[in-house]
Amino acid sequence: MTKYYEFFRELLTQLLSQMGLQFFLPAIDILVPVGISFFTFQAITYLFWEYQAKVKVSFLDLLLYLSFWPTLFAGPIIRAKDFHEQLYSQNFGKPIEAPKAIYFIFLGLIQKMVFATWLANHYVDAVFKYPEEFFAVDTLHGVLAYTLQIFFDFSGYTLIVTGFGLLLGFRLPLNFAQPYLSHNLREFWQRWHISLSSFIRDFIYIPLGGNRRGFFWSQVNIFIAMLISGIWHGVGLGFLLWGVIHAVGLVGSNLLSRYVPLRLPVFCGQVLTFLFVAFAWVFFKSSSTANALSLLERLGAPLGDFNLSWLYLWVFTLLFFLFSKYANWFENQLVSWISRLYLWVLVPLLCLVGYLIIELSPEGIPSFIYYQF
Amino acid sequence: MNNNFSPLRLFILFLIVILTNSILWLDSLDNYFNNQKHVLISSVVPDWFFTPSQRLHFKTQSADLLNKMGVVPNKSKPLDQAVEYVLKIEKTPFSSTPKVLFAGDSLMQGVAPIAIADLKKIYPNGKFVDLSQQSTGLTVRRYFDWPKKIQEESLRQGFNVVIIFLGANDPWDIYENKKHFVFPSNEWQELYRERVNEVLLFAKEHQIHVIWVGLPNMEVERVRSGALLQNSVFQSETQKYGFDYISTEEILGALDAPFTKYLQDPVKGSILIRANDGIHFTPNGYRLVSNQLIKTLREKF
Repeated sequence: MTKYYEFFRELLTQLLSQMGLQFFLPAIDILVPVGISFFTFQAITYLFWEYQAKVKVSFLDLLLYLSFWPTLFAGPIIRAKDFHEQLYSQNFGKPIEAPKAIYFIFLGLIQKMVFATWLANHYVDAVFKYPEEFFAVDTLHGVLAYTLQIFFDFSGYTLIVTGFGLLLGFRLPLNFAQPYLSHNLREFWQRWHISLSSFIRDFIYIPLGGNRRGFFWSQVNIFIAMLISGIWHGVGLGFLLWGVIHAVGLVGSNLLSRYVPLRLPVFCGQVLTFLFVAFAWVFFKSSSTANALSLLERLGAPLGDFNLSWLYLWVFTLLFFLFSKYANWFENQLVSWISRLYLWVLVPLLCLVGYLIIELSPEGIPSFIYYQF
Repeated sequence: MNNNFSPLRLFILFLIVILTNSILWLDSLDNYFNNQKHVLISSVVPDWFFTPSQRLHFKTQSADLLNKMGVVPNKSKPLDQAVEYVLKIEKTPFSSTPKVLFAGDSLMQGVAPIAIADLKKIYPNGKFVDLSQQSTGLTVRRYFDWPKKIQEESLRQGFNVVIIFLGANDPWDIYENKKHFVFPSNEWQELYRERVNEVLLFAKEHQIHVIWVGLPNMEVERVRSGALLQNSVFQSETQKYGFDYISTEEILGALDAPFTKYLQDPVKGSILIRANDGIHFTPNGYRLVSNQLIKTLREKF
């Protein structure tokens, strides 16, 4: 609640003073512990599991679960049951699937340090900070690049910690499954930040009634769940709007598929879903609604002169979709290749990859977008 | 075939990868730790440890060095531009539209977008460029060299105003030419003053107006005591050259008063103006600085 208090305090004070009332809520200055959102989620899954399964977990094991550092800062949310089952298994303490862990860690580093930062520095930051400076195509590229950036940022982070998890003997839940290849919004939420979506489904949507009371109430519950998801991401109208946009999109697509018999070709569904998600990110990313709207207004500006950076982004995007489509195949091939390599070949190879990652990434240590939530 | 990734082997694998890359990037690591953690690896590690990283990155360093020594073949080009620019400014001091460079650290990264959005409405033909970068200042030049950057960009883009807001990253020891200047010794202050001077002297010579934004109260004691000292340098030096100094102490909290995150407003009550870290501001705080900055600029244009 602490991160929302100041927002509501200011809002209420402003509203009351406009009505001629002078009423001041006290200002509270509290230090919020790091990772509070994520360990709260995990604590909820623990309470639920303990209540349902009537299990008893030692205090030390509980502390280990709540302070499990790979998932503490930005997930993925590992449920108490899954964590403790692994903790009490016979193989606990030994690295699992080491070649996969190596693959995850290095792929995550490339996604985060090279791709996400390249997109941010070259296409995204300036467009979102100074939208009025850019013409239509550059603005469009900013939106496209941010869509890819937030995926690389968060997926990269998740891959790295999943790799660490495997090395420590824990399988963390899958958080991304090529979300931008989704055919509709519902599928997108089954593929994006999966551990959060399933948490919201199990702990908000289903307790609200889910789809048990018919189609209408199911849509209301979806709407509420998406709204809460938006508010959870942060304080401010932008996150709220982002939640509303996705809620409207989900309910709208449910209504369409129920009442309109028209079926679009698969590819059209993919393109429309991607565009919808991309434009919704604008509200997520912008510091204010005014900023988001002034960015969207620029799409009506003149196209702007062609420059080579456009071409780079097009090629990058095409390759991204190609790799996404065959991601599982690539993963299997590379993991099996790593597992077949001799250590004396693998070590210098990884040194070289590490060197190249640092060479291609910008100065300093980039921060993760999802650390703030 | 090697299917045996035992814990020990994995440990050795990652250890070698991390150590190798640490050695191959030791010069960058040294820069980074110098700037962010205020320690100098090169003062405790023998020089030969740096040889591989320096060899690998020799190309970029040598280009910098040549630039500093003035032996870059096309050096004459910026000089020509500088002369042309000075003449142009002499004819029209401040009568034209503002061409403003925003330089600074993360504090400026917060102020600049708000200020630029407002300034664009006031001066539709003005030019406003924000080059602020977080974790920068005047202390660690080899990490980010603001005096050099301001000079290069002013000559290249023809600014007539530079607004500078930095310093919160600066109250730390300076290492230069194997010398160690301890903060806040007299030598440190002199060197810091020299760096401020370097910017101001260049601006004066090129008839560029400088608006220097002072630091407000800070929660972190070291940054607060640094700000006291730095503000006196910023203020006295800018006044010496006849430039503007904006004191943020009056709007965001005086350095000799207890630190508070809130501003008391008779109508709105307590307004949160400072972030949790006790250094950065909230959008409300940034707007207060931006308003003051715009007011100062409007007196010139």
